[in-house]
Amino acid sequence: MSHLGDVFATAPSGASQPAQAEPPRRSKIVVRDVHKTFKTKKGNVPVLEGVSFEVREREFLAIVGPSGCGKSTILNCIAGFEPFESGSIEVDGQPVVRPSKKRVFVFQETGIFPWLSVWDNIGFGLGRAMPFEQKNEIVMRYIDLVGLRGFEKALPNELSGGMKQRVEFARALAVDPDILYLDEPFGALDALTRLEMRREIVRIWKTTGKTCLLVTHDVEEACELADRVAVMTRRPATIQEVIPNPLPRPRDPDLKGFRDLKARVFALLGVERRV
Amino acid sequence: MKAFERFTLPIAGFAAFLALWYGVVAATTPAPRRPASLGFADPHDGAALFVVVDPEQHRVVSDVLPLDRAKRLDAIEKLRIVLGEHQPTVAAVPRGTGKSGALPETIEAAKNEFGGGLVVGEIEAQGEAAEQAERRALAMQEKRQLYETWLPKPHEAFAALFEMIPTGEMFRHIVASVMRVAIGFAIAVCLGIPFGLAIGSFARVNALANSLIQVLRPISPIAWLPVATLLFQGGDVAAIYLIWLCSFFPITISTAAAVATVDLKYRRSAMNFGVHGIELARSVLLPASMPAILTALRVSIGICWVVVVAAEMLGVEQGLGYLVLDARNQLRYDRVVAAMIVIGVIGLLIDMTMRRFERTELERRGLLRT
Repeated sequence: MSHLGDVFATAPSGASQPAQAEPPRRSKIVVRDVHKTFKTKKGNVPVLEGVSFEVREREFLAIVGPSGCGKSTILNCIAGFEPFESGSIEVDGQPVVRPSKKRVFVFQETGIFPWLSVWDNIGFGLGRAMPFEQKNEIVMRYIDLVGLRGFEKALPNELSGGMKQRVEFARALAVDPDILYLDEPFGALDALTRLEMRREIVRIWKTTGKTCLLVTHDVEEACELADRVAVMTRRPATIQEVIPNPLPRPRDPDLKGFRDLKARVFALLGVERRV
Repeated sequence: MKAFERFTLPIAGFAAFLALWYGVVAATTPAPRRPASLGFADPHDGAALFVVVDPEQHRVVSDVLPLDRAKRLDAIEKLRIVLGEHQPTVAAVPRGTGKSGALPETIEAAKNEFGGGLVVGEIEAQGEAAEQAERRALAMQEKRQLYETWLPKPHEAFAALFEMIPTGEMFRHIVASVMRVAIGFAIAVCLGIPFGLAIGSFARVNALANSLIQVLRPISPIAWLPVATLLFQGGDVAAIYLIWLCSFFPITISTAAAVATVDLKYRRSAMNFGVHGIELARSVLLPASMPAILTALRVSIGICWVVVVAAEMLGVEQGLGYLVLDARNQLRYDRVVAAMIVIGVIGLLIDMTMRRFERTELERRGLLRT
């Protein structure tokens, strides 16, 4: 990517430390024994049955699991969008009661506002009270970070799927959160764009040093991106195992270590890979 | 569909409609009614000859009326018998008979007794007086074919329309109606959209207002007409109130429904950035609901235009609704239909304008689905 150098030069200060240089230690998110039941007309459907795991500071953790297993539900609970019945979710030692600007959610299908320009979307989280000069500086910095300079005034429907997803990342990063929650953020993209966006998110994560919690059903994606991969069971879901992923970046999906990791995750999911 | 059909097919549609219109009117128009006619001549002094011709143009009766003042009552009685049977609408008074003063007086008295519809004219008695009187009566009858009031044929309606355009009369009525709709609709928009946003955004406002609106909404504005006329003493305010009423509920309900279905990810995005309450409504719920709101505006201004015609039938003296009613009262059905044509055309123009507005607005807001 030709503008990588520029991006590093303009990256927010204090965030340029690659996460891998210094292994993360402190617990950022602590999920303990979370239970949740969906109430439907046909009765109660238990979705989460004692989900427990931790995400460390500056860590990139991926949760993988079969479709409909409740991975998005646990992420919504962690983000404070949905209530749960029992257990606890703490971020920085504080229980989560509502969403916060310090923890921004990146949606499965782009959640950027179609009626706002790229500039306005990225500036949305900064609030209306912020003076224009200051806002413009921040917005332009993140427009550069995601490589969308020249598209400030474009409306989302004039952008490709990948560009929209970049706007969404920029909007999330502009409020300088500690944590990014990624709910299958590349789900709606085509295969090639998805590959490109994975590189992009790793670059952004390394550049900004955010804690990232990714939910996906794509095992390869999880193995490419995450420091650790948490594998969920079918519904009602628990975490089966959290597999550390020490592979050096950039990662090559064709190397043996990568293939072994994937095989281990698939084995845990109980999926026969050969067609 | 071929390109030329885009133009020819609509024209064919209109032509078919005009043909149907013409056919229905032509087929249902009652036969002209030619009332009996009455002619007078002055054969000799002291008497007048009268002839009655029936609708089939046969001589029914002729007689000599004495013009003697003293025998006036007899003359009236004779006329009464004749008029009673044949209800003539034309009478010709021989010139010169006025000298005695008895005949015109006699006819006048008969006219008063039998009500209107008796047209009195004078004929000159020349030659054979009776023949002359009969010929005159026939000639009058030819001219005075009376039609029942009936629906105009297309060309008659358009003639009435083009008759009202240069005098500025039509323009005056159009302006009055358009102004009422503009004011009533503008008030409905200014109140309905915020109210709908409030209902859609706040559960308490919804609980408070929703059931009430659901009860008030199905009440036709026409049913409100008597109440509005009394409450606002008729006039413009009553009409504007009805316009407001018929658009306020659809706008409010559509806005509330649109807000309720705003994509959860937009709400959550906003919540995530700490945006809630009125700011959420203004910066997220309103723009996200805009496609549905714009459609509701277009539909409800259409309803307004329908209702304004009814609203103008009481207590106002201008406007297309007034024109329809007034023309009907004058039995000028050609004007009634001319007003209907204008109402249709302006309704179409309003809809086209709103569609264009809707499109540009969605385009500007990046919400146009392509």
